[in-house]
Amino acid sequence: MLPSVWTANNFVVKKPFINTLTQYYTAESKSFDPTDPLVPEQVNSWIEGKTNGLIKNMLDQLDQNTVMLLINAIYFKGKWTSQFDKNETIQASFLKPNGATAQVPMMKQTSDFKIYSGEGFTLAEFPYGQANFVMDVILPSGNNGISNILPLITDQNLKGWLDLMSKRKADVSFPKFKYGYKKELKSILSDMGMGIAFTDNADFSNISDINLLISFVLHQAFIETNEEGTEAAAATIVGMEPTAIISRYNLNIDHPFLYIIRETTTNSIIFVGRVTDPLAV
Amino acid sequence: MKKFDLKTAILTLFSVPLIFISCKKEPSVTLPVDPVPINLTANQVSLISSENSFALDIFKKVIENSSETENIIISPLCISSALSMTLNGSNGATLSMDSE
Repeated sequence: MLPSVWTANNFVVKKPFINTLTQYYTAESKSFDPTDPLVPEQVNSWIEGKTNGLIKNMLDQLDQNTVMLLINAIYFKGKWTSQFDKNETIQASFLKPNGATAQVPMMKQTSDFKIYSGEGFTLAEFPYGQANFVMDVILPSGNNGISNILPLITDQNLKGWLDLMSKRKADVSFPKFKYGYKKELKSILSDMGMGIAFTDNADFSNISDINLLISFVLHQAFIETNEEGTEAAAATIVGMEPTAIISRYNLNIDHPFLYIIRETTTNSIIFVGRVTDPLAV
Repeated sequence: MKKFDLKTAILTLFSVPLIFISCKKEPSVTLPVDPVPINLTANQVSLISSENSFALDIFKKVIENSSETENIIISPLCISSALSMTLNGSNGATLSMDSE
């Protein structure tokens, strides 16, 4: 986990906030000039450096109101405990959701793997190295099985299934894959109950005396899985900006109006009036 | 509402880079052949359980919000720990929302 905190050079942050991030999160602390059009490039190159070049061009542009960026990068590389032989990899068909078939490079091996055959799916475990890390593949029965199995995948159920796995000799066909994915997560996180942090009602008073909100949560990830193993990386950028300043209301009594003079504790009206011409007598 | 234990969160986040370091090593004869056990406190166990629930919840939401033919990958741990940095500076209702 490689975190960093980027602060706009014109923005005053509370010292304990930065200290906690640098000491406990071991975050790098950096500053940026919000008017400098090169800031996205600087951020992108920091992320690229922390992810072995797997996460590139993450930030297109930066709103000039941004006062703080909290960035986290993660990098993973693992070699299969039992690697696939490149010479065994063949072109084989893969059935896509729309029913079309694609010819893809399919890796092959026959070995002992932990497997659980559940109702409507098979769970298989592919360990890396000494097996502190593994890839659990959930293969639904049937081409369009993901939507059926997805609601069943909870932390609780997963624990149960993992306990039920047992080692079996298996002929494995496993496609190679390599792709990236990028998503702005603000609306998803709002749906999940974090909405207040994105509104003017957010309270980040331990960061600054200026009221702040989270303006965006951008996430990008990449994975490559082949005969040797998996290389994957991800980065998250949380952008913060000041909440909308409540502008002074402009009250200009420049046309006919009514008035009431009253006593407030009893609410009794003493006078009522109308002014149509302040100069008239 | 689950009370967020920042100290535990920090400890858990600390343990993650350690695991990664061991994983980056090139294979050699001295590499352990069995998983190296990582002992967790009860607080850490429950934190990981809530992290995993967050992981699966956000993954389902991301799937809902993507086209059916799209390949998807996210790192929920990367997202939640980036958000936890802001949580550290939040107060009141924002704090209890974030930590759920």
